[in-house]
Amino acid sequence: MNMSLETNAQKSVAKLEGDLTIYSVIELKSALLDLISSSTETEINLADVLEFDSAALQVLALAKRTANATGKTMRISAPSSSVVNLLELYDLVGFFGDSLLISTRDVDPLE
Amino acid sequence: MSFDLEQVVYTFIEEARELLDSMEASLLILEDNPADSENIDAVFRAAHTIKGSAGLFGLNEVVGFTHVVEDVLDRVRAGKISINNELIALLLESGDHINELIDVFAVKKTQLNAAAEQREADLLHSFNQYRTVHPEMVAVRDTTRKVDVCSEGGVAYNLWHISLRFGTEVFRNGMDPMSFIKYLATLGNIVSISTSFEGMPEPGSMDPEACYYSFEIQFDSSAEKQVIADVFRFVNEDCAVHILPPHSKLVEYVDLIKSLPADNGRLGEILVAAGALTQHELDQSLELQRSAAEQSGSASLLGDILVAQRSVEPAIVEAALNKQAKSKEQKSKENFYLRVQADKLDSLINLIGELVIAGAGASLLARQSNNASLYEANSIVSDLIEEIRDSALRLRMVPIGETFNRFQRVVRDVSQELGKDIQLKISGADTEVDKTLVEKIADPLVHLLRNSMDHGIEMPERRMALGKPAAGTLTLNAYHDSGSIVIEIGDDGGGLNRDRILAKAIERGLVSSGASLNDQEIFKLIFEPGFSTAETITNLSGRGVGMDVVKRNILSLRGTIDLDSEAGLGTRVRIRLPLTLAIIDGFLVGVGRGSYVVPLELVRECIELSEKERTLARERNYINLRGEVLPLIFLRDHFDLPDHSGRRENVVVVRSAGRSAGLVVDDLQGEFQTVIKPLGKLFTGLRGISGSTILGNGTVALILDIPAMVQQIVQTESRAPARLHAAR
Repeated sequence: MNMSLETNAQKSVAKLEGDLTIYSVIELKSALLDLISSSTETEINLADVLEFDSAALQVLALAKRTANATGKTMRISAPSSSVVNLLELYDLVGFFGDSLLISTRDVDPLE
Repeated sequence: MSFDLEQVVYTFIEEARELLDSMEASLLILEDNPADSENIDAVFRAAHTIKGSAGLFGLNEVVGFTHVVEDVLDRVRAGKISINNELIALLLESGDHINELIDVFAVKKTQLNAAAEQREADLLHSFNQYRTVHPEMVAVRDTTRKVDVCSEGGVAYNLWHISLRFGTEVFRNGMDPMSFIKYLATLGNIVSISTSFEGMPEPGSMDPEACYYSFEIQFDSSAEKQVIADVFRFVNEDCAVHILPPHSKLVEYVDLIKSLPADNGRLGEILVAAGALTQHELDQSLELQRSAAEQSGSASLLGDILVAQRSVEPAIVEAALNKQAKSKEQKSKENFYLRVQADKLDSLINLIGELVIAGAGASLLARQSNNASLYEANSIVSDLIEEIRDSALRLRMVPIGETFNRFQRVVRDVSQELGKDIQLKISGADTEVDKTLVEKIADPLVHLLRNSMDHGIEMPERRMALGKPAAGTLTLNAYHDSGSIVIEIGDDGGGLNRDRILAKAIERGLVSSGASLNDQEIFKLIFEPGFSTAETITNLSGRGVGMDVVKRNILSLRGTIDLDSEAGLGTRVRIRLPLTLAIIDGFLVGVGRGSYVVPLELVRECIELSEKERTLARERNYINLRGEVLPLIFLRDHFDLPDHSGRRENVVVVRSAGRSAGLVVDDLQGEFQTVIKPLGKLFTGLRGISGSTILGNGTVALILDIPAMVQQIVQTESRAPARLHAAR
């Protein structure tokens, strides 16, 4: 896993690359939680994620839940096909739905 | 064909009567314990079965009436009406009425008489009040029930509902829920899936390598439950899987459970066999049941656990439990009863009788042949014959309890009629007795019970005044005693009035006014024909017929009856009957040239009577047996046989009804299996002989009626006590 970070006054944009799997979830968790606590708005770009498993998704869900609970915003942008597949399989598109800015597919025409 | 139908109708009548009996027994239990749902079920089943079978034979009158009874019982069972004594009385009367209906329409094939018709109308009228209770409530209940069934089905559109709770170790064990769900999708269509992270803790303590996934999946598939469960086989350890079948499957399972063979005894096995439950689910639930039992000390029902675990739907568990109950019922019936026609049994016993005689002949020849191995082989055959004989005779034996239980009703009805409170206590119900004997003993027993209730037990007020409990107690006891069955009927009433019996007997001219009689002799007077001391004649007893008839009946069964009574404490009647009427173990003795059989069970010991003692014994008619006076019966004199100059004589000590006597015989010939052949009509008046038998060598031996002989000698003894004392 690789993470590159762009931060401005209101918003942090983190771009995750490579494999997001069980092998990197500990790292992923601390990175995401740090991001959420330090900025009011977090965008996580998943465009270049290759492998994506349930453990990684679980950490994303944790991050999303934590953000919601603390009144902050976290969204996923440009998920790669492996991410989308898993989100669709678990029907979690809605869970991240309001934050899926750019999808490879049509998620919600109203957005 | 018509012959067959007759046979079947006969079976129906038998069965219906048995069912009515058990219905009555259950109702009587319910009277004391109205909440006993098992007995309510039993009563309902009895009515239901009678109605069903009566329908098969087109006995519409029986069906019509029984239907009403069944309907009311069904309401009781469903808790819509509660059972009370009034309803029980009504149901008891209905049982009687059904019995009469069967009697009239199935046995006599006539029409009801006016009284029975009136009774039926009254009963139906009374039942109507129970049938029309709260019709609105009933309707409401019915609809809610239907709604329940629908929601029990759970999911609409005939979908499976799969609920998955993954354990924390799933990721670390190298597995990913994703792969299972993808695999599941190959078996059908995942209509909807709802993912949640229910168990996921706060961010700080959340372990990213632990798995917190859980899913609720609506799944459309035609696969079997086991196949679907197999998808998750590899995570069984780490994942709680609950698979609820679609509604269409529910119906299928219920049907399947109903069609399973009856031998599938256990709930879990039934459910697994029907495919409603997987073996893994069953194992898990059993484990849960076990550990819960260990913790709380009380085991919960597997059915409840399965439903709580959402492994199966309640409707299926219910179907399986019904199946189980049915299997059990069937099994217990199969295990315990086999209907055999009585004449088949009789012919078997006759054949065994012939076998015993033939076997005796064969062993006699074997003994004479001096062929050791032939003799040995024959003795084995003899042993086997003996065993066969015993088991064949046991086939005819039934516990007397069934007859006793019938008396509960008699006691209940009579005590109500008399306004007395009377309890019947039964003991020794397991005591077995020959079936024919049971049938013949029932009427005399009823008579004795009625007598005790009518004359023996006092009115409650009087009992209280005497310091006794207001409720009277009747006891009915049975036990085996030296080859006989003894039946005791006791009451804790006022006892027999010795003086009144004596006065009455003198008035009737049964005894002379100056006669001195002991208590026993006075009590026996009530068995004389035409004797009754009751001051008022009720319609139950006291008409002066009865006790003599009772005695005659008992005597005709080769039995005896005697009676103890204590003023103020009660009366006890003791009936002693032979166990069986066909074959006995005999002890063969020789007198002169003839052989005689003494029932072995009555023989206590054999002693030699030496030359010296003989003269003395002959003079006094008794010997001193270890300090006891043993009255003697000289069989030679008894049967008036020609004198015989045998050097030795033997005494066979026999015991009957608590008294001993010695039979003086020439020689002892040993044990002998005796098939009792009744004597011809011509000889019925003979005293001291109860039958005859055929010996191995073809000669006839007479069977001694020891109880009669002993009684005779006891009577002579008590008539002439002075003589005995003088001789001593």
